[in-house]
Amino acid sequence: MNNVISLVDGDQATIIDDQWLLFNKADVDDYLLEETKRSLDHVILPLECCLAENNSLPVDNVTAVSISNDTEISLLKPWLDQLSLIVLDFPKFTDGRAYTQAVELRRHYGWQGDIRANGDVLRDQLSHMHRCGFTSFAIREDKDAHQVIKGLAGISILYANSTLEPEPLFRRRLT
Amino acid sequence: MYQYDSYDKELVSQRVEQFADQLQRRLSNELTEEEFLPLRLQNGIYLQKHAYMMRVAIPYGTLSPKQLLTLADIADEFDKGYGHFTTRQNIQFNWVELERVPEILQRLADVEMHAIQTSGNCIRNVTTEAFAGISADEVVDPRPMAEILRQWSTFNPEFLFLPRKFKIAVSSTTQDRAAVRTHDVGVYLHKSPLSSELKAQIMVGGGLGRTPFISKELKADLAWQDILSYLEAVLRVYNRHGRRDNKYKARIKILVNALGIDAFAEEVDKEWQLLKSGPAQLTQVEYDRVAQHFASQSLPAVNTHNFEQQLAANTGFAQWIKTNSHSHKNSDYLAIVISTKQGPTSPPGDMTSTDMRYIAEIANDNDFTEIRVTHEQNLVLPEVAKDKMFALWQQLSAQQLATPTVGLLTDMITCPGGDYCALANAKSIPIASAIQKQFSDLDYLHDIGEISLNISGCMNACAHHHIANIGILGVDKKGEEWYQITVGGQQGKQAKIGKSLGRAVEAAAIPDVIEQLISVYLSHRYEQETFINTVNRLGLKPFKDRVYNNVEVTV
Ligand code: SF4
Repeated sequence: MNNVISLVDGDQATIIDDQWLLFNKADVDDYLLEETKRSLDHVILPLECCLAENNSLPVDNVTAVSISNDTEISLLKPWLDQLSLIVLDFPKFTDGRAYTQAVELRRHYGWQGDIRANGDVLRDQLSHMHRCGFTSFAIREDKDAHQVIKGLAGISILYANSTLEPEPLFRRRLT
Repeated sequence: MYQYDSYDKELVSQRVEQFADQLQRRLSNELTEEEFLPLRLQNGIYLQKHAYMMRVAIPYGTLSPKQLLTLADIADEFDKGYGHFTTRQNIQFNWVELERVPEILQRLADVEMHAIQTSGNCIRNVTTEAFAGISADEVVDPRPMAEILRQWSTFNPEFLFLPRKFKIAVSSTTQDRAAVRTHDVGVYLHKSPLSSELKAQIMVGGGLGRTPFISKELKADLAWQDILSYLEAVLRVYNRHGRRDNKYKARIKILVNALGIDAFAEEVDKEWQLLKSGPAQLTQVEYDRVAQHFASQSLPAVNTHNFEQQLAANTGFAQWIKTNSHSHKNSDYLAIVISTKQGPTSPPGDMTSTDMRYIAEIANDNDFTEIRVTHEQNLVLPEVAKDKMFALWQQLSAQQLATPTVGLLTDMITCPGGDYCALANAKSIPIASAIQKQFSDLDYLHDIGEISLNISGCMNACAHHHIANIGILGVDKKGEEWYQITVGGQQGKQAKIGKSLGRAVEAAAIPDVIEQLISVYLSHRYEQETFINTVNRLGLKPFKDRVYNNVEVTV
């Protein structure tokens, strides 16, 4: 994927083009048919492909999935141990369901892999995503990631607990 | 009142910078209007008919004299010399230039104020009631819990892009004055009779607008320590399952009704089990830290002898005390309501900078530390000693700020309507003005007694017309402004949605329609019976017959 801001390696955010390939359900079959090895290396598989019955794909080897923002996180449970990347979707930046999905993955399932925001991912929401547990951000194509990355800073004070800071401010305050 | 500490100050000051930067990027077209819209809404900025409007948060409707003076300055320098107090105890400025918003935010920040989350599809600022902390019928001061909720909801990253706006109200009195049951979530604080432990009854799914609902009970006896984790669970279920395909069906009330309250409660409980007793569990230390900001000062005893004499000797004063005062838990004191509805030329909720300054100065002279804003769009001086009362009345009267009509027919709640609001079907301010003209006789108003009349310019129901004894709703009939009348609505713990009287009427007919409704009431009421009780006893029919068929009713 291109135009990705990643926090995966340490605290320093970096802008990368990585090797992950994101497909929708229709395209993934074509891609895999062309490949001689039918390998899932670097393939982010839509979750519905993993769940399909009589699966012709080698889903046992899947390491990355993407899900729509109305997918129940519990469906991911059988795969969590083998996954290293989960891509959550923001069809519009105003549709905030993926924030809750990220929180669930981190806090209810204790999942530690890379959670990536994809879709309408913009500067002014980046710090909120980060606080909910996202660790990489596929910035919308037309936006300059070097500008967008500034959005990670956000407002430094948060009263409530979050994925990033599990203790609410009232348990941390000095006064 | 609540004083900012270094965290609050830092947050608000970073917010000013953040918004200034967002605005700059909008002005340079780095941000499109579509991208900017939710950002400005989360800062209370709407585009209205003629200009931008800015809504400033007044937590719990509480202002220091200094803050009120700042609002007066903003009204003069950035608006046309007045502001509009809203039913959610906030203030709106109707003529703001977008470019100058950061300047306004800085002025506000200087006196510990902001516009954070006063709009947008997020958790709006939490409300209580104007008499919090002074009412005799209060189990506990609701403001510490409301402040704890306000902090928790501020920039809570998971809940900034909800399906729709989300409003929370807290009340702790036997008589609910915070319209709790028309909020997305309502909290009734009470004490367990056995242990005297503080508990919260959580109500969910209230809301007016197109599909009005009175909220239902979600949890009867939540321990106060669990309130943050429980509300987190409610919000998470809503964020996950609330509808996003149709903005008129996106409020939590629709979800609650689609699932049924029991299934909804089960979902919430399932989520809550995962959060309960976690780090969000409130501590006594935190509660006490917040509560000390609201602790009542010890009030000196007052000789009330002169006050009693003045009451007996001056009917104007007595009338004003009767309607415009509210009892204080210390009987040497009263809370005084200053009506913004002074007559046909003062739109309900509007106040000029001159009046704001006048009131702030009275507060300063009398060492009043706060001024409150009510849900009914009036102001309150919450702690006035009875021996100062007569002088205060004279001072307020001198500036026409002692209109003795609080709780009466002309104490209307009115939205800005078609004069300002881009969503309006019809104007509301001229309707309020016409009613003021029709009912200008004080003795007549006092004879009619307690009644509520609310006017909304469209189905969004910003003036809560559904829960008024008489509700007036602007509707659009082929481009003309008409009005639908509802009767029998009620606020409070027994909140009820009013029923439609019949076909809509035109603007010019409204004062007369109201007059006829009142005349049916007056000729049929039992002694001491209020308008709403007569309506409840008789039903709508005699009122309908009178208004539409001009039938003299005999019951
Ligand atoms: S009720 Fe309608 S007209 Fe009145 S302020 Fe609300 S949206 Fe505007």
